[in-house]
Amino acid sequence: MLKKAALFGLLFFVGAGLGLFAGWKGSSSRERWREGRSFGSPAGRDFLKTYNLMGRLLEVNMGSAMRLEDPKESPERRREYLNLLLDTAQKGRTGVTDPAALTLIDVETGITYVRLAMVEEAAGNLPASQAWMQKAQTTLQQAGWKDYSEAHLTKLVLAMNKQDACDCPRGKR
Amino acid sequence: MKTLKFCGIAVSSGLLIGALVGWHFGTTITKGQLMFGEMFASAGYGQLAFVQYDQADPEHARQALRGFTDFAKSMGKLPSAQGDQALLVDTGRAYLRLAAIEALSGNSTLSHQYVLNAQESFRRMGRDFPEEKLNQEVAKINALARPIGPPS
Repeated sequence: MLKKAALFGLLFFVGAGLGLFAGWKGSSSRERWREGRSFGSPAGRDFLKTYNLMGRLLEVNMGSAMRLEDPKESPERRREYLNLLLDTAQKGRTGVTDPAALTLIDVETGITYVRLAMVEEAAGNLPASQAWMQKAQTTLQQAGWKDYSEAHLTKLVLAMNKQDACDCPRGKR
Repeated sequence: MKTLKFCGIAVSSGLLIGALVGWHFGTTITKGQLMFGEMFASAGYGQLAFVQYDQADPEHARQALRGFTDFAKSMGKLPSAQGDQALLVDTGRAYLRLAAIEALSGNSTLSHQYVLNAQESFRRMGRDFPEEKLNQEVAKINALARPIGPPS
């Protein structure tokens, strides 16, 4: 009797495991299909690319801002995260055609250059810091910024670091 | 035969219960993930658009805000964005800034249209602001603003 119950339990759990996986996969696929079904056209697909990139950029941006604000983080870790942000922006922009979104990706890139300049300056690498700052100024000037002086960019990015490090997405601005 | 029936009942009852539980949690968790993704995307675009409005010349500021309002319009088609009040607030704020830019440029018709768009956006989240109050907001934004060039 006990053996029979144990066998029933074992087979039940095998079935339940398979059912759980199948149910999970099925419902998850259904939800994802429902989410993207209105965006089958080329314009819709372009929107989804921008949508995914903007979400990813904010995610990495918050991660890098947290590392910049944390005094225990090493310059290597900070560089690593900032380079990940640059990489995300660079790879993501290839699929985006909306000029407004492309300019905003440039803005994010420019702000990341300023952050890299500040990391290098703090690490005592002044030539690297100046090179990043010049890249930032060129990028942000092209994005239409009125004041792209070093002092202004540093002040602005310091404030953004504080905000980005502790904000959840909905707490922004 | 009896053993096979016994095994079949055990597996199929487990499958049924597992599938129901999996379906329920799969739906709930995927919906949560999609909502989280939607929040990140709208906040990411909105944040950059508002930074661009603050820092860039009027032409680029217009482009960024229009880009955001178009993006928000497309986001309205996403099931995960239904009921996202923060997106409607950000869209309303973007329209008010666009209205301010156009008012300073002397495009009163376009400015008025943007105020109406802002009003509609706030109305969709259940806040019915009178047009007069929104015009006051536009005037407040312009009081802090800088000289604006002609539109494209």
